[in-house]
Amino acid sequence: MFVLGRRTAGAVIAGAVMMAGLSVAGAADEPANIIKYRQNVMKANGGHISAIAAIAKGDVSFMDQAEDHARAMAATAGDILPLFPEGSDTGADHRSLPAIWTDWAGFEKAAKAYEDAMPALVEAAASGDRAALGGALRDVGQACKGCHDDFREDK
Amino acid sequence: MTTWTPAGRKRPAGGPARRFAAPAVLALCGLSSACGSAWAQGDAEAGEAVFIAANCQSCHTDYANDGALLAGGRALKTPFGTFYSPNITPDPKTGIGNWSDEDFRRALIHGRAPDGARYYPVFPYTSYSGMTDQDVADLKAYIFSLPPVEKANRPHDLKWPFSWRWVMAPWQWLFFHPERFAPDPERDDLVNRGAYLVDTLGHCGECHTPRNRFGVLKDDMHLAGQEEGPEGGIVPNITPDPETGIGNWSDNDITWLLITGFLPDGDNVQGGMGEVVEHSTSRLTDTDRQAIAAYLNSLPPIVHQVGPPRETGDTDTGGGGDEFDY
Ligand code: HEC
Ligand code: HEC
Ligand code: HEC
Repeated sequence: MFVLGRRTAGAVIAGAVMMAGLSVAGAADEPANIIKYRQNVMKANGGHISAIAAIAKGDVSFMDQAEDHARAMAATAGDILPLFPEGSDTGADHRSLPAIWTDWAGFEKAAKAYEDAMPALVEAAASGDRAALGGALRDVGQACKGCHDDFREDK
Repeated sequence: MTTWTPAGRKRPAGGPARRFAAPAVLALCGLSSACGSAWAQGDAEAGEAVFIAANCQSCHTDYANDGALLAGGRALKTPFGTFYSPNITPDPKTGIGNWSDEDFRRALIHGRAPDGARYYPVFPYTSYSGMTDQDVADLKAYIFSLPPVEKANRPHDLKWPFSWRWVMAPWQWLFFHPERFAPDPERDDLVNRGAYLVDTLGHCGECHTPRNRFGVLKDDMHLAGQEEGPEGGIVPNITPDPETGIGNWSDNDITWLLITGFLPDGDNVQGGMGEVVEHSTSRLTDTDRQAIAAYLNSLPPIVHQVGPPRETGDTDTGGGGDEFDY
């Protein structure tokens, strides 16, 4: 018989509960509120990015905080997909393109690429090396842009 | 003291002598005003820098369909119809491989084809006409060092009357008066270099400056942004007005955007500007990016709100009456 470790089992159950919770949220919440919520989550990313950028550029010398910002982004990087349930394209101004729902696999790929860029950012932030941080930030920027180019309307 | 050169680089040894001490050529050229390039020998290596700053590749490469570099075919949608950029690789049959230096110079500076036909200003010769002869010659040498690609041009798909190329003759006569870039002695070298990069090579105004109904850039709104950019969307005001432009940006914020594509709020630019960053400004030298920032910040601020005002940081949480007050 196979035995699940207690922690693994806990994680699986917690995961299942979270998934259920999310899909309920996606189904029941007002589309307008989901749109605003996801825009705020995105803006939070933007906030962390600009904070890290100020450190990488040398505008400010809070290098000891860079890793906190990177970890905050890494922690939420996996949260993107549930923010875009079917039907969350009306009720508020937004720039999400229909391609998100017609090419969900492509959207998932863009989200995954973004998540995958995170460990390097955290590592560079922890290293305290400004040049390395700038480089990792550019890579993350490519991942943001990669998704925005295909799935967010141009201005 | 280093002297300012339009291309921002050291002249190869003997360059100036080669360019100016050629009385025989000058004498011949005296007969024809269109002879300016005869003493400018092209240097392909220097031409690459010009090519990058002028971003020829964005329009002349059909990235969406994995087109070869400079082989053309990219669709450019405009209110006048859809243009398909031509093949400008040195392929003699379908590209510009048979062009003389003078043909090339005339296209960029005067907007005229080798047979005399007039180009549509969607090819931004209206900006490139400020280029120095040396930069034009270097650029041609570089483009001719790239691999030729055989690919036939696709005809434009334009609305009448624009489908008649000859309408460009009165248009050019009325609105196009090629003027070489001249550094302004009142400004320092860095700002002059920035002006050349922004207004001539980078043709930033082709998107960032609004046009009148004849498609002519409005001089008094230089770089003040427009609601209906070339791709239909908003192009922001990049004059240093603090409210409606980029007056609150530091030089560092500007160069950071030009390298990374990140805006000061952590969002990134996309669309046409994403391409400008990817193919052009991220590949410039640091000095050139600083020159662009210095020039933009030296411009007269123009109050012109394009699109919704920039957010102040208040965050709309949505929902009903239970919003946080912060
Ligand atoms: C997997 C796709 C995806 C990734 C990855 C992504 N975004 Fe977005 N982002 C979007 C979409 C789609 C929108 C438009 C949302 C809407 O308006 O409905 C958006 C909107 C935004 C906005 C505008 C929010 C507003 O005010 O309306 C900002 C800022 C933003 N993203 C920043 C970022 C940053 C920074 C990153 C990378 C660190 C990033 N995004 C990564 C898809 C993505
Ligand atoms: C904004 C898009 C755009 C950019 C940038 C651009 N071009 Fe073009 N170019 C065009 C279009 C469109 C045409 C066709 C114009 C016409 O048919 O009247 C064209 C025409 C040409 C031609 C004439 C080709 C022929 O077969 O007659 C040459 C040469 C040329 N471009 C070279 C360049 C060079 C060199 C650069 C960079 C310095 C450049 N272009 C940048 C869009 C662009
Ligand atoms: C092909 C059209 C095009 C050209 C050419 C172009 N831009 Fe832009 N630019 C845009 C668009 C569109 C935006 C808005 C992009 C976005 O936010 O997604 C923009 C945004 C910007 C911004 C950010 C402004 C803000 O308030 O968000 C700056 C700065 C800028 N451009 C500078 C330049 C400079 C300097 C050049 C020339 C080297 C240039 N642009 C050439 C289209 C263009």
